[in-house]
Amino acid sequence: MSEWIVRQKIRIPFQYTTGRALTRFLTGLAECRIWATRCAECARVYVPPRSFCGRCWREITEWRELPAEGEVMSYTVRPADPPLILGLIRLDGADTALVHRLGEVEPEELERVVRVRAVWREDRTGSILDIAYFAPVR
Amino acid sequence: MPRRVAIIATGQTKHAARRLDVNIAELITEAVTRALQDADLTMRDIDAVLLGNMEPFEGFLFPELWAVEGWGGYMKPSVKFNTGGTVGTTTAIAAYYYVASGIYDTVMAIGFQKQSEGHTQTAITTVGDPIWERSVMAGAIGNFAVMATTYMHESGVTEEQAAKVAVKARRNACLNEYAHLQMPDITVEDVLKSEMLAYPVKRLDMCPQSDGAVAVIFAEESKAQRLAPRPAWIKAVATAHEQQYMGDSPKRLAEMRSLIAASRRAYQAAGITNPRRELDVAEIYEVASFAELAMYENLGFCERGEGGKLIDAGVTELTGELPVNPSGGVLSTNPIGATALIRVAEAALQIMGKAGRRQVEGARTALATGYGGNAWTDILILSREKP
Ligand SMILES: [Zn+2]
Repeated sequence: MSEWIVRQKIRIPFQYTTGRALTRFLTGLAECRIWATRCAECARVYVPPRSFCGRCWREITEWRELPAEGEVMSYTVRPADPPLILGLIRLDGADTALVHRLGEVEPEELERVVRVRAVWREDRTGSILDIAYFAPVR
Repeated sequence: MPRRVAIIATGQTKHAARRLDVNIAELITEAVTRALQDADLTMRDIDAVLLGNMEPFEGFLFPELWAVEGWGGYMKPSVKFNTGGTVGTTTAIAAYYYVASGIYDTVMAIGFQKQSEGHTQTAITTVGDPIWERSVMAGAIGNFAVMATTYMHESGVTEEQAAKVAVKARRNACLNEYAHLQMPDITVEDVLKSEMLAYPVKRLDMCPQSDGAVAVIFAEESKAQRLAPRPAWIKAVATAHEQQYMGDSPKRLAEMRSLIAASRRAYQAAGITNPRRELDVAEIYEVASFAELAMYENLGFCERGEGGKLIDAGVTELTGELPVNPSGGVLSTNPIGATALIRVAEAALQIMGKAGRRQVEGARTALATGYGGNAWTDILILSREKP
């Protein structure tokens, strides 16, 4: 009687507005294109793109397309079958990195993987998952 | 000019994975009662109550509403804070501002979390950016793991060195009657062999989930001198915030910009030029073993890339030159909304000479930190001398 617990489960649906910059970014992904924005003051190239540079506190209006290829900054492996590999990828020309899955690679090889490229899905919908994963450039 | 402010009393619950003997209000009352006893005050002597909690970890909003009889807020001036891992230090810094401003003389800061009532990983997932990061990764562990890998590459620290931090924390916790994870026999091998959560982070490298509450009483100069034999004076406070995406600073653990900015601001305000020599003890918010090593570097306790050597040399052990987390730290006790305020309470206990078996002899200057959402840093410096 001293320890009495009432159990409940709540389902909470959400919907998120992507906003000006991310809408253009997601639309681009559907066309296999990666859009970034560049701050005119500090020259940082942001991807995912922002409408505003938080460092300089000013609006960003300059857009540029980046190649779907870049460098692995870091990674982690979650034990699973097959293992889930996550990477932090800096696309060429960007100052920020993207978190995404890494594929076509074994965990043991990761220390040697430097360059990766986006592998696009056939059925793209304007989502970050239009990129299935990033694979090593061999 | 801000008024001088000191911490005059603290109270903590026994922290545990599941405090099934009490509900949230009863849990908070346990900490509040102990803090009031510590200062020999009653709730009537408290001018305002500030509350810290990370919602909706327990699955409902306004937990403070349902717990009001526990935290003594009925008809009192009060505010609730919800800033992630920093909740507790944000609440402490706000209590400092309340008293320093001259508007209130005696203010109680409370932090609480009953993690057993909710689902923490689900709640932490809602912290992530919903469009990008939440779709590809979730929860605090993967996030930390990615940063830990970069940090290992940048600084050359090893999994063994991180494991030593995990061992230090759980052994120190045995000297703290309030700590959750007390593991007197834990070894480096135990940590290395524990379940791999996400490379390189293993189960024993991570903080636990705890139920717990803490209350800390702040007072202006004359009250502090009257009520506490040895008050812990607030010498400096500072906060700083990073940009949002993980990829905005890909070396986030190797280079913790908000920690660097906030700590340097606080050191300057406190007149500290060599933190390793001038601080006597530090209670830092290390959610993972790797993070503590990175924090040594970013707090200026050692040079870049030397974090691993510091733990190897025993500098941060209870008997070392600069003991870090004699309480057992976050790695031993983590009721999120209380965790950072526990750092402040433990730092105050050290200054007040009330830290019992975990007391650092002659501690005169102590550092407490809060760290949240990979981005937000709070710093407090407490001292036996008036600022
Ligand atoms: Zn800028």
